[in-house]
Amino acid sequence: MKWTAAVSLIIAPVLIVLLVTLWRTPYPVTEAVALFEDVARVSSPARFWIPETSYYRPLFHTTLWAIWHADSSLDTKLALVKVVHLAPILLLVGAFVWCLRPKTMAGAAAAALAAAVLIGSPGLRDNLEIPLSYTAMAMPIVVIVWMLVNQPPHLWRSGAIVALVLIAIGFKEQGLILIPVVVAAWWMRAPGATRTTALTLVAIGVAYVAMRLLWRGKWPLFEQSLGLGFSIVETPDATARFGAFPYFIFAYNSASTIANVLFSEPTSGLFYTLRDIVYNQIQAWRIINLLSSIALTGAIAWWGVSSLKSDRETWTSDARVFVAFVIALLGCGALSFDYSRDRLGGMAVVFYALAAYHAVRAVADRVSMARPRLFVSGAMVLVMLAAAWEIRAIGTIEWTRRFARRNEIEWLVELVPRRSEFADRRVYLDIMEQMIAQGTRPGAPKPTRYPHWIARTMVPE
Amino acid sequence: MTTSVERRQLMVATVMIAAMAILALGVVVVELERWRHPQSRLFASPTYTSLAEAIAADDVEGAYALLRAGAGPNDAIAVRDPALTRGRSVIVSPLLWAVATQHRGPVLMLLAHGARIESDADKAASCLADALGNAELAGLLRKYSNTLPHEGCSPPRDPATPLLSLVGVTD
Repeated sequence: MKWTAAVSLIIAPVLIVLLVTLWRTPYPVTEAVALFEDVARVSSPARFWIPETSYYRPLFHTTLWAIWHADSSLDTKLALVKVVHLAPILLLVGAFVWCLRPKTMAGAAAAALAAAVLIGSPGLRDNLEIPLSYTAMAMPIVVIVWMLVNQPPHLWRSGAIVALVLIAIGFKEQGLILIPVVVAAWWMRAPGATRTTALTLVAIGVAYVAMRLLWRGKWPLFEQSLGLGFSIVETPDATARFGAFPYFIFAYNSASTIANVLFSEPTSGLFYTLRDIVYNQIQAWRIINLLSSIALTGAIAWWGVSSLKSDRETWTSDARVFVAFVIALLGCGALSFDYSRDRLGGMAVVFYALAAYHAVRAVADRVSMARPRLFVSGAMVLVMLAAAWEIRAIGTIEWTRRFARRNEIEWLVELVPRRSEFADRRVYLDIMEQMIAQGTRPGAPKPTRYPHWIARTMVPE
Repeated sequence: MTTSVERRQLMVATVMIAAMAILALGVVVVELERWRHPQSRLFASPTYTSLAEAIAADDVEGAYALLRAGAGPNDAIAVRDPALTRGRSVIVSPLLWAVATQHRGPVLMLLAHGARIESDADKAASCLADALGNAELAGLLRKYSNTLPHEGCSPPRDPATPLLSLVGVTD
């Protein structure tokens, strides 16, 4: 337990500051007001369960609806919506550290690094935008389900796995990724993944996809703008350019999401780091992100392939984590075929961080057995990797402060255009006017004015 | 041999943990400093002595902080700029100054938080934007406020300093 406590102590400052920052972050005008309008306008959440829209998040909307229609003040409602977003993030990191429970100092070092990977990844950072808690809710479920499938079988555990997967899917369809993960766990003889659980989940998955396809209305081919190479393609252009044969761009979007998890590049399909290198405008934080991701992904690939070389009759826990990671990664890629965003890799980030723990341990063991010169250079690389990911985790706080500042500025400059644009939406305008106080309240988080040489390591200048 | 490997493992883990712990400690120190000295340069936004300064700096938050502190969005302010006022001190409304400096954020902030378009000079804010060649700002003013349409604008007496012409300052 002492090493678990040590890891918690290392990660606690970043996690606590992150949560406090999010708690004090004003809601944005964009997204938030429209979401609250959606739930405020209807007297029952039943509408959110009809799967006719391209975005289907019935549990998220039902949760919002329940909070919004409770007999409480606006401040209480807004606070509760934040709790729905923040609690899963706290649970995610807590469950993640508990899942690893290192027993040695070497394990603690790898676990602290893995926790920093979890917090410092773009896949988590992009899911911190209040009140869009869809994937943030599903991410701790990934950790809990993974713990359950690796424990001895029990009826309640099977029931819990199924229930948790349903909750994850209900918040965001990315939760579907858990189905092939659990099926693969059963195939790899993970003790808690029984055949009944796997079959039940497959049946749920098939039924869900059938329901979505049967109810499918006329959805646009491209829901959002696409990043392609170095430029953004807006949806009308995308439809004109790729509408006849969209499969190339679908593959590109999927590959972009996968590459973002593995290399932190591209972002939303755009190769910002490569562009900056070409124009000789490279920024330190991009270099740190790219190199730390390349090094860690390289370590995971080496460890993962090694873990698969053992006897197939007895799947090791390492091999199971690696296979689950690959499946989750491919799943995230497949489900982001329409457009790529960092947040769409969120479910795979959990497995990436789990794989990081095992990979770093394996690399550290190998380095410790190497010849002196190799040992020194290997150890230095590991220390730099740990520092780089910790800087990235701290950078997540600064990114969140930027979101907070952006939200505050929105409340200052976006009111006039919205009063005009949404003049015929009374409920929208009422909610917006009521929320001005929270959006312009003094004391909202602001980016720390670090000296340039520090700031450059974390965020764009 | 095993002892040597274990010692090395311990050494690597110690340095990794130390590196991460130092950085985490840095977060603690910064946050303690934020709590103890919130007005320190590290945390506080730039402060302005007048709305004119904040608007000229295109600092929406800074300008709003002054409104929150009691500055009136319609109270006339003294402004001076080498190009826009030829170095003279001129009295204008905050909105007109925001248009003259061509800062979209402060214009929208002022319109949203109490600026009224009542005087003839303020009604001609869109004409000022036209004269400055900022069609986007002129369009935005006409869309969201009762400023003059393009046809209602008379050309500035001195095209080089349309703000001075608008407020009736002549050489």
